[in-house]
Order: sequence, then structure tokens, then C-alpha cells
Amino acid sequence: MIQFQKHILSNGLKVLVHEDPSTPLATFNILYQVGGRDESPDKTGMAHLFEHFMFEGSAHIPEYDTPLQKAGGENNAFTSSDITNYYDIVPANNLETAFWLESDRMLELDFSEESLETQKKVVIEEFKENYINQPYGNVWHLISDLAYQTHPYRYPVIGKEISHIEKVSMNDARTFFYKYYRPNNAILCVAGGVKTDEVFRLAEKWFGSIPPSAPWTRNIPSEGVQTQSRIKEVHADVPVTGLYLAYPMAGRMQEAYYATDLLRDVLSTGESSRLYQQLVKEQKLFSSISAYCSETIDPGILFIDGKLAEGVDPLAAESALDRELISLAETSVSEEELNKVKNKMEAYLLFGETNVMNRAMNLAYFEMLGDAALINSETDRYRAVTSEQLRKTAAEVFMPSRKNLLRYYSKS
Amino acid sequence: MLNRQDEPAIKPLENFNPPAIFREKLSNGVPVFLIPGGRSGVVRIEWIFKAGKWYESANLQADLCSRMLREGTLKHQAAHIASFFDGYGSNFSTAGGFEQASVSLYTLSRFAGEQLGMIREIIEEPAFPEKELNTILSNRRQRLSIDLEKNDFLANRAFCRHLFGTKHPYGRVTEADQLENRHPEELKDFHQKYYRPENMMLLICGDYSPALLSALDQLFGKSKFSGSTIPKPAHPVEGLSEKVYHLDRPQAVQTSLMAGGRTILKTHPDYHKLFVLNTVYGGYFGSRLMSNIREEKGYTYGIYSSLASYPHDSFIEISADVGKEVRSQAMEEIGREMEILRKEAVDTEELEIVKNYLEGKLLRSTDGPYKMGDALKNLIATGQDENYFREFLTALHTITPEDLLKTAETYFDFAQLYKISVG
Repeated sequence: MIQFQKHILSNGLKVLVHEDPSTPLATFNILYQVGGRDESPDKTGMAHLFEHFMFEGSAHIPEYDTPLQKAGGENNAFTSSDITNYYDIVPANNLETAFWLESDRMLELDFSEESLETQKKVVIEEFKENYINQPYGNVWHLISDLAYQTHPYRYPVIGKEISHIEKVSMNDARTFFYKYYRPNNAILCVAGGVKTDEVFRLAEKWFGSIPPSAPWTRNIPSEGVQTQSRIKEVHADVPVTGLYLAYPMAGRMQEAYYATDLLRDVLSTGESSRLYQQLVKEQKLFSSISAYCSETIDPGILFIDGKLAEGVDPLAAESALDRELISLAETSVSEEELNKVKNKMEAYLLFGETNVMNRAMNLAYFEMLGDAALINSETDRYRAVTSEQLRKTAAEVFMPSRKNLLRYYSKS
Repeated sequence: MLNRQDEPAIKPLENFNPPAIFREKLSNGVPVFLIPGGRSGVVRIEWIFKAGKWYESANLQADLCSRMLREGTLKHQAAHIASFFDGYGSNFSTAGGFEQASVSLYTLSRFAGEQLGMIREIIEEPAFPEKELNTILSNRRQRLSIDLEKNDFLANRAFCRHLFGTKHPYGRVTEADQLENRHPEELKDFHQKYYRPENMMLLICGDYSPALLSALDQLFGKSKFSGSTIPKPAHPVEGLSEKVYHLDRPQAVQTSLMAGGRTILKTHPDYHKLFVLNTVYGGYFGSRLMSNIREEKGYTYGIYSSLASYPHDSFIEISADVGKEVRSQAMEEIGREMEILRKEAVDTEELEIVKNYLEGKLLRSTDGPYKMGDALKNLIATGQDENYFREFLTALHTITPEDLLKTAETYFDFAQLYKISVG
């Protein structure tokens, strides 16, 4: 059970505190409710570029990192399709430095042209490093483009193409900042060797006077129900043929999310999982294969990434994989197998909770989903899934007409 | 009225109280390290052997031996073993490094005791079935062929080869033909030599009970030490004489750069100073390299310099992926920043930032039983213990800009470093 206290400032900033006296550190985690899904199709990659820009100086502090490091702290951030999350881990007695830094950059940025240009270059190198200069680097671009037709999840968070990043202007940056980086669009969680009253006092002191944005509503085009399977084939300079599948699945707040996530575990968590045992060990069709859930707020995808074994016919591998998915829709998993994935999930969640930073990040995330207290019912929600629910969900998810397949052929 | 120009005062580290480590022994003398972590409901148990790459007589022997432990015992097949641990929700793994090889169990505490018998079987009676070995080798060949398409992978191979030569365990890399025609016999032989109780230690972190400890003693504390000595090979370093290596890859859009060379061991009296100096140079986000090459010039997404310290050798390693068109400029800057540290003393403000940063980093890297366990494991590999942390703090507080200048003059010589570029 993770204990926490919550307080909302008059400008709308939600503040959560979780005390853990066993650690000398404090995690300061601030989540902004903005991500790739909030971008327009001709300016993709904006949210992530902006994350970089947030470190380039603010109204009263020329540089973000130096004072934090001087306080013994370390920080990082990530941008997903749904959120942009920043965290600082500092010795608990220097927590106020994090408040000072984070509140100043929420108040106002430096908006330096030169920094924006440098960060565009850095992000373009990041794009090249991870999405161009890697074998299979463009898979995520191709599969998202196949699996989504209208929803902005169609474009990877790094951006659809480099030119989108190049053309971001200071005006775009300002508009983006004053819409999304406001207290009423953020959730702060401080966790670790801290005192709740002191955190609330610091929150009021440093964030209390930052004005909120005028109310606005999020308007994201939703993805229609897929009625026909889609296939794309590419021939690339890679040594091994890859097969990639994506099936639409429930969003993070929908009941079916839990059953789908457990299906993923049945398929691919641990060496006893079905895809590994059947397709890698028994039939030797794949040299590696894994399944992932995209864990997005709006409906996402269940994604399967397989690389063929030596000398295997891609069609044989493909149909064996299909059979594994269909069998989940036809035959219920045994109580033993269901119990296995539930135990796996419980252990995974508990190991995750041993880390204070994870606790802070997750509390903020669940608060965004509606209520931070949801963090304490996750295990029960997974435990409540029945074998019959799994089968029904599999029938729904692995419908042949909802299949998106990318055949990534090796030229050699 | 709040004055945002007023930076909150930085408070010094009050006291350093990392998680406590308790030492025990099994009945037969196997050392046990315990790091309790409250009632979290989960525990990590590791069986650690001095059975890493250093000890193998043919490339990949240690790695394959460790990997094959999961693939069957005299009584149970691989699929059964996998279902057994997964059934409890556990994460069971085996992994090998340069010095150590470990068998690890991450599990719900309530099921920990029930799984120890199977682990004893895996450690003492592995079968090394040929069929499973061949599947693993075939899949590794596929993975290697993919890795060989990556600039950073190729650069790292060239780097290791240049520093240590192709025969040394830190220098030799996996070649495709070494993933063919491997035999269970060589793995059995390696297992027999090194997976022995006198070559083992136990590390337990998290939520464990006294009952678990006595169960461990029942299963692992009874086998006698054989008394015969464990072979400890020596390996001469044969670094290549050519200092510069470039592999051109016309299709690449970036170049992976690496620079580095061998340096002093972690046990050397100057090591703390060198560590602080390297932090200034490229060891944290505010470093000279990152400020210049990423933040000022935008040549790269990230650049770091690190000290890799192993029991038998240490080296400094600088790496970055940079735009292809700025490859030579970036390498020049890497050298220039090193030269500056040899010529100009670091100012006290910058040194203070680095000192404070490193104090905070020490807190982070020893926070909680699992991180403390990881840190301890590395210290034990180099023959040290947790006193290292306090020694480091003491040294850190006394280091002056002049110390760093002298350290740079002695150990920072860009001309002597290997320079590798791929892409």
C-alpha cells in the first residue's frame, strides 16, 4: 500500500506527497499532460523537441542543469504519446533547489533562438541515432502508420520526419508553452525522505503565484474500428527478415486493458511464455520474438516483434504465429497458466515499487488517469481477470480483420 | 514577495548512512551477504561465482556455460525449468561478465523457499543438452549478424581489440564461426572447474526471513569444499600498435566515435582523483565534453567519458554518435578538452559543482538494498568492500584544483589514446 497526501493549489496544480523515511533522497516528479497526440500532423515531434528546450534556461535562471548538479541532484525527462514527464532526484535536504528550478521554468522560459536551433540539431542527431542509423530503425514509423489511420498516435514521438523538427519556430514554441506548460495542466509528486507539510508549503511558495491558462478542451480525432487487415512489405538492407504485427487494443482506462496486458504476458513474458516456447524453442521459426502493449490513454496497439531463425520461410513463420494468436481466442488458458501470469504481474509491480522514483512517477501518472489511489488497486485488477475474459478479449483483439502486418524482408 | 533570483542555499551532505550489509557464512564456509529492505514482499537472491570470461580457455565458454545452466538438468528439461520459475511469478536468470557469473532469482518472498531445490539442481547438476545448445547458437548467430550492422557495436569491438589484443579476455570479441561447432563437453569442463562452493558467494537483498536463510544453508551449506585449487589464469595484454582506426560505412548517416586507453586500477592511490577529473571531463551531464559537443555545437545527442574498472585492468572510454560530416571536428574537440584539463586548473566553482554532484550520485547509487547490492558486487569483484564509499567521500572533500591538474598531467594524454571511428 503506497500512502500519499494530495492538495490542489488555487491555480490548479495538483500536488502529491509520498513519505518514505528510509531514503536520504527526494524525487521531484512533474508530469505535464501533453505528448505526441497533441501535435498537428505537419508539426510532429514538437512535444519531444520542447522537452529539450525546457532545459535551456528560464526567466530567472540562465541554465537548468548546473544549479541542480550543484545541489547534488540529477534529472531527466521523457516524452511519450500522452505525457511529458520531468524528474529530479536530489539529496532530501536540497529539495528546495528543485522547487526553485522547476517553478521558474513553468513560470516562463528564456525562449532563446540560439538554444532552440542547437536543440533542433541535437534532436535531429537523436532521430538519426535511433531511427535511421539502426537496422530496423524505421519499424515504429512504418507500423504506427499502418495501425492508425486518423489518430495522431500514427506519428512516433520523435516526429514523422526530420523536416518537421527543422521547421519549428519560436512562435510555435511560445504557443505550445502557454497552452500546455501551465499549472492547471500539470501534476507534481514529491516522494522520499520528505515531510508532507513542508512539501505543501514549498509548493505554495514556488508555484502558487504562477497563472493558469484559460480553460481549453482536448480535441483529438479518434481512430475508427478497423474492419480490414492491412499489410505492408519492405525490402531493406538488414541481415535477418523481421515480422511485425499490431492489433488495436484498449486504452489505459478501459476494462479490457487488464485482460489484454495479461494476454501479452501469456504470449511473451518469461521463457515459459507461448511465443518463446512454441516458436523459438519447439518449432525454431524465430530467433527472437516479443510482444508489447502500447499503454496509451486512447486505444493503442498490441505489438509483436519477431526476427526469423536461420533459413526459415517467412510465410511458415507467419502462419505459425497466427495459430498461436488464434488459439488464445479458441481455447481458454488453464488456471495454472492464468495464475502464472498473475504472479508474474504481482512480482513485477512489487519490484517496481521498491524504487522511490517509480513510486513518484506512477502516483503522478495515476492521478492523471483520474486518481492516484488507483496505484494501490492494480494487482487486484489483474487478479480479477478470469480465464474466460482472457479468451473473449483474445477473440476481440486477434480478429483477422484487425491485423496490421509489416513484412520486413532482408535483401540478402 | 518571492525573489526568484534568490537561489535556495545548498546544504552539505549531513551524514552518509547507506543500507547496512550483514555478513554470515553457510555451514561449509560459503560467504553470505545480506542487505535487508523492509517488508516489501519481494527478494532477490544471487549465487555468484568467479566464473567470468577471465577464466575461460576458449572464447564464449563462460558465457555459454552460464546461459546453458537454464537449459536442463539431469532430471528436468529446459521447458520444465522455465515453467517452474515463471509459475511462481519469478524472474530467474543467469548471466556472466568479465569476472563473475551469477544465477539470480527475483521472486515474491512468500514463494522463495520452494524454488531453492531447483536452483541447487541447476547449479550442481546441469545437463548442457546439445539440442538446446544448437538452438541458442543459431539464434545468437542471427543476433550477431544484426549487431554487426550497428556502428556503435562495431566501434566497441574495434576499441576492445585495440586496447587488449584479440587473445585477451577483455579484448576478444564474438566471431560468427565461434558460434558454430561448440560442444557440451567444454561447458561441462568449465562448469566443473568453476561452479564450486569454494568459488561461490551468496547475495540476498530485500525481504527475506530466517527460514529462508536456514533453507539456503540446508541446500548449499552441506557440500564440502574439495580442497583442490581453482585455476587462476594470467593473460598478457597485447594492445595494437596502430592508434587510429576508421571503418567507412557509406550507408551510415552518423559516425560512432570512441577514444580511450588503459589506465590505473581502482585500487591505485590516485584513482579517486582520476575519477573526479574524468567526471569534470565527461562523466556527467554538465561535463566539459557534453557542454561543448552537445550543448554548444549540437554535434551529438550525447557524449560521455567513463572509467571502466575491472579486477585485472582499467580503461578510460569516451564515446559518442555524431553527425558524419562533423566526425573529425568532434574528435578534435575530444582531444582539445583533454588538453585544456592538462594546462588550466579547474576553477573552484566548477569543482564544487562536481563534488556536490558526486556526493548526490553516491547517495543514489547506494539507495535501497538492490542498488547497494549491485555496488557491493562490483566492489567485491575488485577485492574491495563498502569502506570504499567512505574513503571516496574523504578523498572527495580534500581534492583541490591543483590535484586535478597534476592528475591530468599524469593520466590524460590524448596522443596516447586509441581513436576509433565507424560510420
